[in-house]
Amino acid sequence: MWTQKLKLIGQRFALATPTLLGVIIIAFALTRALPGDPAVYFAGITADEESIQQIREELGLDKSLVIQFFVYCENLLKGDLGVSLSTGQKVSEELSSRFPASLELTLTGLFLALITSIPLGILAAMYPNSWVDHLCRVLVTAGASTPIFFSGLFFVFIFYYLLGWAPSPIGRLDFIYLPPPHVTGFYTIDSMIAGDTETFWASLKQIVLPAITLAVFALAPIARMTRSAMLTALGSEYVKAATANGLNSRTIIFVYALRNASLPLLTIMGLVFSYLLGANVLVEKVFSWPGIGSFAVDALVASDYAAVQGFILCMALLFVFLNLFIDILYTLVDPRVGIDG
Amino acid sequence: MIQTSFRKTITALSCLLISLSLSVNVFSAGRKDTLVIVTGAGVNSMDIHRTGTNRPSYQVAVNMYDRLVTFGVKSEGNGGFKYDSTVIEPELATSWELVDDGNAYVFKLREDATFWDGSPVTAMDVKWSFDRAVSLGGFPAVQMKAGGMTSPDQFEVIDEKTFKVKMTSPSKLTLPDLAVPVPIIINSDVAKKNATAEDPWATEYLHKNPAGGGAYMLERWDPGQQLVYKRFDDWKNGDLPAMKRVIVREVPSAATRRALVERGDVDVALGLPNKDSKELADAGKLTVVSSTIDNALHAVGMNLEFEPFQNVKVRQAIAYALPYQDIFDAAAYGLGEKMWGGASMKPMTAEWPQPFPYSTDLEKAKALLVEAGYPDGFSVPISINLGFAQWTEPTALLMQESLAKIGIKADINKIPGASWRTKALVEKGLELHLKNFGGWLNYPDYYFYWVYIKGHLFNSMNYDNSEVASLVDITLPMPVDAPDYEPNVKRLMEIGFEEVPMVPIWQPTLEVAMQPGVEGFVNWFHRQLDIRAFTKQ
Repeated sequence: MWTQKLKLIGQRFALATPTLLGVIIIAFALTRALPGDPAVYFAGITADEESIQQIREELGLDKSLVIQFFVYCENLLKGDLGVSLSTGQKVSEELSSRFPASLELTLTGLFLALITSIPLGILAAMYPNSWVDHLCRVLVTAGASTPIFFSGLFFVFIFYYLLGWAPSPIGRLDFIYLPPPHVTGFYTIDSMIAGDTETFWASLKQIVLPAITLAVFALAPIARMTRSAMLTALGSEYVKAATANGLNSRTIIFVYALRNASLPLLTIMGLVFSYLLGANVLVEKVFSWPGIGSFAVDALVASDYAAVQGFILCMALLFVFLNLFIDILYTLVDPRVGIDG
Repeated sequence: MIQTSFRKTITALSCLLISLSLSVNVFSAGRKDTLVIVTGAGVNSMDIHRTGTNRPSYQVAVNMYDRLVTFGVKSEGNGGFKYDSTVIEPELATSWELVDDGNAYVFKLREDATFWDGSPVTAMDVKWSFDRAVSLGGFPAVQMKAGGMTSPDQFEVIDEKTFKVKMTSPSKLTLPDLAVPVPIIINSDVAKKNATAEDPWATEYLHKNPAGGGAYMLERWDPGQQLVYKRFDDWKNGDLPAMKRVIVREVPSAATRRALVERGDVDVALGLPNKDSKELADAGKLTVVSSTIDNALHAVGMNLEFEPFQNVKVRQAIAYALPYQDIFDAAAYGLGEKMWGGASMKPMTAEWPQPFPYSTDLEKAKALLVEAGYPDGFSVPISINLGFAQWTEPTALLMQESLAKIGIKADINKIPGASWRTKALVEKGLELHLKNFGGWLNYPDYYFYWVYIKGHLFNSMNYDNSEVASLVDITLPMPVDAPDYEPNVKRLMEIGFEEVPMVPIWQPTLEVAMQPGVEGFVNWFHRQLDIRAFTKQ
């Protein structure tokens, strides 16, 4: 049985390889199709033709696209993603410092969304048209219809500017603290590992408001999906049968209904997670969060090829793993997908 | 059972938390000696000579390195300071004189000046640094060329503390060009130790490790987050700055920067939009410094390759059709110097910039269009740079509305920042467009050199006039007290007024908000941050 599972995982990995190859080619082609000439952009505003040409040669942009592509692939095999022109750092360094920042924020936001929206969705399904259901409806509508930069600025205004409860929206740590030694790149975890409780609390405080902003956004689809999936499950034959057999309501809801309702939930969670990483850009800007989203947007605006390609590649890898992870969870949750069934 | 194990985990975790030592990873310096500045733009290199170094990084050249000379700085009385383009003061050089019939400068270097590592600053360091500035190409080479410096042969070490700059021909621009951020003096011993055969100028090393002798040293740099300066206590090339540490933190959202400074959590907020600056100034709780940028204009450019604009009457018609006051109120929030409504077609003074003799007069504009043979108008797109959407977008919208009244149909063509330079300045193919240019060296002839001469980069209008070309040629090297200087400059402006290939709307400002008690923001021509003059009570 285990070998079978491993085989399944191996197959998924094998399937991911052509996807990744495709991503590399498309990322390369798309960045080349961006408007603007990076050599001109980075030569500076007063540069003359000669110095622009010099920079073009330095960047290897005077060669044909095919040669450029092979050089890129060769460097990629060596693990060299190139240097981001707009930030002046190696793309691999940028990604390794910024990616955990985004991930920490997104995961915290998703966690907050899950612990509020799933109970809310379950309650709303159990008591349709009650006040809980109405509350759920209001939250879902508000969450889905408020643009994320607005809710971000709104929270900053209320909780930082007016009430002073939240710390200054100045990034991952207030400037009086130094970042903890790099282990995972998650400041909250790294500061715990370093045994530095003060930095831990400081980084936790910084993450609360942006994470809530993301959670409000993520809450809507999850709560709605939980509610409808639970409604379907609760109205189904097997729940009726379970009720008729006199099982207690706790078992019916958590064992029979929720397990069946969790399949569409898993799918939507994968979607919401990717959504959140995208929505991060605006939250990152409002809260000065040094994440991957704002890096990518700035790189796009500046036609910074290496940075954009590195970002796309990194995201593609992330999604391949995410989908794989969800597939594996599926086999655990859904007996029909299981190999032992 | 699940609950018990959960409870156990919690207990274990809290025990762990309590048992953790209270080691605190906190900066020790007090807030009194530390200044916190928030800015929207990030530094991407410690080396101004490197390819791809962005504008905000010029602050590193300003604060961590010295030049031979600098410009004077005068208080504007509102907590802010402004550089004075007419006064050149010593920095590393204590004195200088013109020799060889005005063809060369000889600089005496400060005897006791040292780099951060304690080694003395010598003329060899200056020579190596200047050679580097003219040899690496790109922007530094272009800027050095503006002062007539193109080749390492022009720089000569006379002795340990004496340095000579030879000019190809005498020019008033050479000395001021040594006071701009580019000709910095690098610790050449440190740099050479880190140079390689492929990289003789140590660009890889200096990109991340500054090696200078300026007023501030690097404490830490977290790219994309913050730059922390600490004071170099043995700095001899100027008055020792008051602040021991300066933290420059990146906060991309202007609204967040405003909230931070209003709440009092940071000392200085840079790069505020005019709207926020105006509101903060009206509220009166903070010190708001708003001062104009020398030799810079926000203007409308008309491309002479577009047929109707070849007729001077059409260009004048556009100049009369612009809704100046509305634009100034909506796009600049009334901050800046108005550049319209001048009294006569002939300039009275040689002051630059000064208002052009046009104001909103739709009747006159219509009449001029009829005279020019376009009674029914024409259609032309207005191109704007999205990188500066804050002012270009409202300006274009108001122009569109006003031009429609004289029969000119104008659609707005939005161009992303990365392609603006190619489309507007290199291909010069935008018919009607909004432009901004600021000359680093504050002379009207320098502005005309870049903007009004055929083929020059900022002449996005393709304007060509042989009289302007020859006047600029003669006037550019001429000292400002030469008898011909003022008449020449006035004539240049008169042509600019009459021919209007570009219509200035206003002279823009730099907007900064500071806590009460904080003083010392310096408005430099390069618009970047100089932290050396800040004080805090």
